[in-house]
Amino acid sequence: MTKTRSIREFLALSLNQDYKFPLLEVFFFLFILLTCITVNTSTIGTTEYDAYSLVNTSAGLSNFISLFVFVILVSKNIALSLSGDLEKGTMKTYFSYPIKRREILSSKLFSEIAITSLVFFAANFISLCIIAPNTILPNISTVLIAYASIFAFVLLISSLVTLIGLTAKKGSLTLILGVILFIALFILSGISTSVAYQHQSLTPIEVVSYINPLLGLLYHYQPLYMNFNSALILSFDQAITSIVGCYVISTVLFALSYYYFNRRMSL
Amino acid sequence: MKRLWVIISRVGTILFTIGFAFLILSLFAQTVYSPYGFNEQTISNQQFQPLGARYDSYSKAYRVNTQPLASAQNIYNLTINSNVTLNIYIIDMNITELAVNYQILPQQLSQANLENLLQTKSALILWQGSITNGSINYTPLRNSYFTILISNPTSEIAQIQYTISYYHMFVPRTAGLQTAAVSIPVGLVLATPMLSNTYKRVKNRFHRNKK
Repeated sequence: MTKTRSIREFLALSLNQDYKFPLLEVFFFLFILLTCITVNTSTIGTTEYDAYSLVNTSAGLSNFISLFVFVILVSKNIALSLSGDLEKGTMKTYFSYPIKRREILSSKLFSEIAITSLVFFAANFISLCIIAPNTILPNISTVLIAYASIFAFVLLISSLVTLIGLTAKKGSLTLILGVILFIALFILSGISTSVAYQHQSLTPIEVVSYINPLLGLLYHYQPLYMNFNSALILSFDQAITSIVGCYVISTVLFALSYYYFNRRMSL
Repeated sequence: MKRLWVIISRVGTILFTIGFAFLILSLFAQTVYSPYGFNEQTISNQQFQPLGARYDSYSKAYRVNTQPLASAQNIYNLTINSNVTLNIYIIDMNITELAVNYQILPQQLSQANLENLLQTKSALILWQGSITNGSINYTPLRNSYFTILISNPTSEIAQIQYTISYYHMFVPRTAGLQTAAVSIPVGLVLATPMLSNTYKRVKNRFHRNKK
């Protein structure tokens, strides 16, 4: 009881630090505005593709701004809260609390990644339900898969940023590397598409979709047209495998972060 | 303040924010379209006509330039100038279905036929009103096709000039305003503990500074 209470207290402390009033409200407001302004509603139908298209144009690969803001927020939280605490020496004080190191890291990561993601997806889902309820609600499984691919991509960047943040112990450097990483993954997705087009094969897209599952899902719903007669399409199983693969890579990277934070890190 | 009250209050402020965001988005139009430009039409006395539709006698069907799906995210504006007072009906059906199902053909466009149709199928009427010169705004409640029927109940021939345009909104106005109407008051009620606490804190600080 005392043990869980100390974790809860630490989690409350992290949440209070990360989301002071009105920070959470401003995020919600911004995400709703971004979704409604950027979503493409020119063809609102009721098919699975229409539902995917709405999510994709409001928060996915076709909407650089929303995804960028989301990744920046998560990276900023990790950089300021985790690396910032290491840089300023606040983490030394936390280590004196009757709580394990891994519990400190779990509380910090939950506060930094889970809450921001919850706000992002809730704002997007509420907005899309108001704009096109007849498209979103009957195709809820497609919408959830699209969200799962977006979350997998953000989680991969978060896990890399966490690992960099723990080793570099510098907040500003972590944030800059997070932004560079996001842009690099976006550029890599573009390059893989053009290579796939030139070689008339989806293999480059399949490979890159393990680190950017949004790409795999995009070419499942939207064929890559070679010419007027032929088009390449990624199967549903391949798209799902890339999402699961991305989660596995993220889990391994987080496990490395935990290992480093628990055993190797000295202050 | 107890932790539970803090959580409830933050839920309240988030609900208020959601409502406020949709309120703002419901008030502003994204773009304005006027796809058909300026048009003119003549309607004989005691007759009615579908607005903007031309009857193709060869295929025996009504033609409109384009009849896009009316979106709940748009506000449609009809501006009319006429020499007589006209009755306007917005019908919940596209012109082709209306012509096939209810025999809305050029030879049957009498006022009596229209009254007969509207009496038996009153559920089809989405909006009705009278106008001489002016404009009407109409927001569909759902995505559907609609037809504008104009009848001339007078004994004179009506010469009308009209334009149809629509404002594309960021969110469907009705749904956006309904969300705001629910979440803003609920959010304010839930946020009351935090607001009263903030008020007390500010008041205490003010008194302390005064002393």
